[in-house]
Amino acid sequence: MFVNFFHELKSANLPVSLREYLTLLEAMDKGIPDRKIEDFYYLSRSTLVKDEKNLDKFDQVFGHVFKGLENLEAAVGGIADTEDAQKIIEERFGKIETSVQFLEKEIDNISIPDVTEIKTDIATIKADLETLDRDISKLETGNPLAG
Amino acid sequence: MRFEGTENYIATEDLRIAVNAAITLERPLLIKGEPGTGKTVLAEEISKALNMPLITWHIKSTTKAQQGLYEYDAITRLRDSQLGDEKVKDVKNYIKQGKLWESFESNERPILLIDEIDKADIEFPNDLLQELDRMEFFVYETNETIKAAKRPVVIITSNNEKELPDAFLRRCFFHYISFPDTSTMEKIVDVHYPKIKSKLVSESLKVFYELRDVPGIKKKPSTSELLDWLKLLMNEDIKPEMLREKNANNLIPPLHGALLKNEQDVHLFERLAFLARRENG
Repeated sequence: MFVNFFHELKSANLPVSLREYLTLLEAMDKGIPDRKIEDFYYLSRSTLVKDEKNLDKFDQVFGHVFKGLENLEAAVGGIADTEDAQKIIEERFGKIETSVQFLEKEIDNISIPDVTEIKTDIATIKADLETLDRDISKLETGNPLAG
Repeated sequence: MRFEGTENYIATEDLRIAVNAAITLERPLLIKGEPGTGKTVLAEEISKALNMPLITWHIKSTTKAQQGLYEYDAITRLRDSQLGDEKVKDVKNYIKQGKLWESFESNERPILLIDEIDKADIEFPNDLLQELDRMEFFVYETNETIKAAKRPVVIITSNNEKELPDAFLRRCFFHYISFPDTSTMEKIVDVHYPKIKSKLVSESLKVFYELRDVPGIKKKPSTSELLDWLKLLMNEDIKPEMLREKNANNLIPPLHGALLKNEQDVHLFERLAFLARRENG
């Protein structure tokens, strides 16, 4: 847990030690910070930084390692919290429902043509094709140019 | 057991976390910051808020670590032996408990304030490493080990006059009390002088922060000086309009003695005020 963070601090030349890192883990284990990134920031700062001249460096590394987490939290926590967002979601669900109902009605309204009618149509088309074939062969035999 | 600040003390979120971490994990909390930002007061307020007894150990340049544990009064013992006092037979009568011992023997979990640790010499913090870590020490004269019944909450303050040894720092939580911003400062003033006219507060805060921003000033006025100044302003019943006066002869804020503690700073400020007046006129 947070090994990456610890190594980043180390490579940024902050004087952090394993002992302090373990203290941080112990504090996490005891549940000192509420599940908030700010609390974790304050806790890790007071555990790992022992000189105010290193505070800026620490802030930079922290921002770099945990970049984006804050926004994620805001995005997730934000929608659920606001009533507006819930209203928007409900409205959208309502719209989807009405469109489903509309589709169902349309499906019911589609008239399926009679199958027998199609069959007779196909039969006439077949007969037509046969006569056409015969006509073509007649033309071919009667044509002096052919063959 | 959580510290949330008190009605007399405005604790910022980061300070609260640091204090609670130190209490829960039973490690010392090192507090640094500009003079007058409430380092020592913090221990008093924690003691009040959590109802724990406070034991204060003020450190001077001559203080030795051993004095916090115990002192063996050999001279009194020698004198008593010459006078034939019965007390002399028991060495325990000449062992004087130090503040650390006192805090180890407390029935309730106490708060031990080690105030201005940077005043002592560089070896001082190192000499206390084991004692603060294990919360126990050995008394050679009586051959007994003193162990803390309940591990005290140790608050250590430093004014940054000397660097503290690394080994010592590793064992502490650290908090730097930064200078409060305007909104926190208003809260602090409100807590101390609730009846003060709000207009006077905002005007005086403006003057105060302007004064802190004057370049080249040697000793910047701090929170405790602001509170003193406000007390004076209230006593003298200064009108907020007087603080706003920019063109009059008295460009120096009234009762500035509470804010500027240094002749050079007063001179510097007077000169700057004079220049400002010339520019305006």
